[in-house]
Amino acid sequence: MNPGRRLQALMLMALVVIVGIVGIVGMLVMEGLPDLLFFVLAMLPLVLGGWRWMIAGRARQIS
Amino acid sequence: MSGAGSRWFRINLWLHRWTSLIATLPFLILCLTGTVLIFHEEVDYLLGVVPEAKSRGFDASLPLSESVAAVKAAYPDERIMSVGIDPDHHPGVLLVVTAPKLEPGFQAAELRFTDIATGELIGDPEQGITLTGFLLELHAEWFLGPWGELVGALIALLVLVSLLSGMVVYAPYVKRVAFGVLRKGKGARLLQLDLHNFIGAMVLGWALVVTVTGLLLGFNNLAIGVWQITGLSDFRAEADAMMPVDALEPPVNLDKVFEVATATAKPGWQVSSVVFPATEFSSPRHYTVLLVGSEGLEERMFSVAFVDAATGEVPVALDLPLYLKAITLSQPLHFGDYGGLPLKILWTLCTWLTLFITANGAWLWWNRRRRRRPEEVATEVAA
Repeated sequence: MNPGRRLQALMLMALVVIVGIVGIVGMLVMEGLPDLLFFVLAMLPLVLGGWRWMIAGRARQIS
Repeated sequence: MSGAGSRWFRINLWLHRWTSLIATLPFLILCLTGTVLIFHEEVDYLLGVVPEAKSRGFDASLPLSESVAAVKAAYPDERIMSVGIDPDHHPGVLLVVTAPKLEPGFQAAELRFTDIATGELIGDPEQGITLTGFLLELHAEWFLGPWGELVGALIALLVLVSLLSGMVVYAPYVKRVAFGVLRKGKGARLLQLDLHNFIGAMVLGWALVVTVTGLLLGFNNLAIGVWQITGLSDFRAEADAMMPVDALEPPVNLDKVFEVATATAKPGWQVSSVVFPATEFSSPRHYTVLLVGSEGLEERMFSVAFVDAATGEVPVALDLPLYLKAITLSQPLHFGDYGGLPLKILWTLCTWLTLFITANGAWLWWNRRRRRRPEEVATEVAA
């Protein structure tokens, strides 16, 4: 991977972690619709992981 | 500096490997017991160990003292240690904790239930410890009592170091192998390594939350003790100098305690539990009353009021210190029981994925040790 994509990969990972934490903590604080939105954020790491797995599986990239 | 061959990388690789390996077995137990505890309400309901009241509401028409009197009559050798109400999980039920007379501690305590509307005892008195109660004792205290909480904190600390060092080890990896790529056809070891890193990255945020809150919960009893010594020392000194009340029959009854504590509470705050005088959590003269808020974060927070058991006055009402607030908020964030079934399913998925990478990480170490020389480790992980 070139340096730009390396940095992108790291930033993506950091974002996934932060979004998950924000979602989990936000659900505790909020009620009603915001609660639902934070649940979506809490689920995002798993959803994104599943999506990336499918994409990567299709592409069958071998480093 | 953070490349796969750097000293910083090697230190973190060493930390990640050994903290993970030391914590593997207790962590597997925590994951398995934690999975059941996520669904403790459902499990208790299915096993029929949840006492149900005839009336689902909090019927104030019958004094709570009637319930207390019924428990005393049924267990004449015991005293009331505390009572609690939990309208969300046990509507219409008064939870009464009893212990042998003159026993100040909760170690030998038993939990009884009464129907608030009728004042009658409900539930099976011979039930003993429930399955979820047994698993919680294992999960939170390792059957070692309050000291076991510190063992739990130590395990959480090991896992936290493992997670943080894992992030450092992961950084050069993710620069080389894109997130989500599994190198199939290149041997079982590389496939398992990719799975370990990929799943680890997915659950890292959740794992950090659960581990940090687990660490905080491990200091629960210690923090309460510190608060009693520091924040409550003046009040306790004054209370100890006062004439004690009869702990078995305090002059001010439970209904009066609810009344005065609610009247002096902040708007929207309600009594959650009352500790009777002369226990490890109350003075020889005062009831200790825990109050909870009604919405948002306040639903998860406590404030404390002390009610004079001789006069019915409230000499002290105060919020918890910051460190106890943090520990109180850690409970829902650790067990994931604040967002209904969807959040419980998310917690379960993350727990099982974490269980998998724990076992697969141990396999990776064992497999490398069996096949390779130590000096090849850094090169391989970087691959």
